[in-house]
Amino acid sequence: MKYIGNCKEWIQPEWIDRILNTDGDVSPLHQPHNQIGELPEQKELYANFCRAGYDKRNFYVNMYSGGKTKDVLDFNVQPPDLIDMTGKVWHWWFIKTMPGQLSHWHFDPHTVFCKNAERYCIALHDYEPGQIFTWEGGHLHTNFVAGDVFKFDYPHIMHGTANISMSPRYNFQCTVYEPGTIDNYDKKFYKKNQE
Amino acid sequence: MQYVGNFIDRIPDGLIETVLREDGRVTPVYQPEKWKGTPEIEAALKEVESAGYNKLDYHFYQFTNSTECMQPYLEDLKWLSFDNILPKTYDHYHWWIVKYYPGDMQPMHVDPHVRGMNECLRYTMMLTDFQDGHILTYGDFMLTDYKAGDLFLWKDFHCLHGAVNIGFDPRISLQVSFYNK
Repeated sequence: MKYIGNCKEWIQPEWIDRILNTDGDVSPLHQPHNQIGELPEQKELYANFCRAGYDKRNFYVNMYSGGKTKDVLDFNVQPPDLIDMTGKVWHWWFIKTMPGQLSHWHFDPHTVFCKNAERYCIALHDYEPGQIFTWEGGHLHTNFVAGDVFKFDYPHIMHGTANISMSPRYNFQCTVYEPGTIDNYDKKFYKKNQE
Repeated sequence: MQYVGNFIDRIPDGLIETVLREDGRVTPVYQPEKWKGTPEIEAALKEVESAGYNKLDYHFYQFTNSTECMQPYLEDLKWLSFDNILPKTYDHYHWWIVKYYPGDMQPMHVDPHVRGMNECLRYTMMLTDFQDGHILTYGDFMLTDYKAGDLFLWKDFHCLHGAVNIGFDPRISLQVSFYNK
């Protein structure tokens, strides 16, 4: 994760209030339609997930996707100046991981289909031990403060999250990419859902 | 944590396979009957409760000297004596093995058995190789790149720590504490 800078003033207090007090789209850990997809790597990951025996009922995260999730439809989120949007478009989401919740080891398949994708994460609160974000190479994301902007080393990097602290963990995520490629992404990534 | 060395040769044949195969004692994360006795421990329990860990069936697996499948390994305890490792002798020790299946976790905590102690040597020996998603975190760190048999000494046995498995295979480790009462 590459540190880009801090944009604390960009964070709107009403975003935090809404995320902490609503459920957004409850997104289960086990999503066979989305997890299978067309990529061989997705198939392998899904096979590993099934083999591992994760509880398929109790694990979920709370997602708030721009333009899609009812709880954040009124949010007018503009990219912070630290993210270079020249010639690019984006899609964004907030994610909340309550204590006891997790996202198993995975990569984000949409980043493969979005042309020249760049993945960013913006911390919305200060780091607290037990709020886990880990990525390839045995890295643990620590000691960040609200407003810190990070760019993924590469967009489809393997990563996972968990919250074994006593407070909610939430942040802002976005993917920046060249326009016109999301149609391809929709066609491939949501193929199973459209059937 | 301070790396001490690799001692896989001291682990009895079959122990790791037994722990991977059996489930030992299922240990719930939320244990109101156990986490009591001092204001500190009761405050820690309240934190776990208010964070929401009491609402779901969070648990992990422990193997101790009272676990049935461990009995064959208790006839000769040389593997737990830590000969030539301990800097001095201690009156007491206790050990336990923990297993986390994918999805299992233990929230951040300070071990209740060391609260109030001034001197204790707390060791962790990993019994499986490191795998991405096998999280043992303490303070702001995470233990990585270890091999089965790698032994670590805790620099601060009172430190806040926790574990979670977001990988695809079980993670097991041996914990041993030496202390004088």
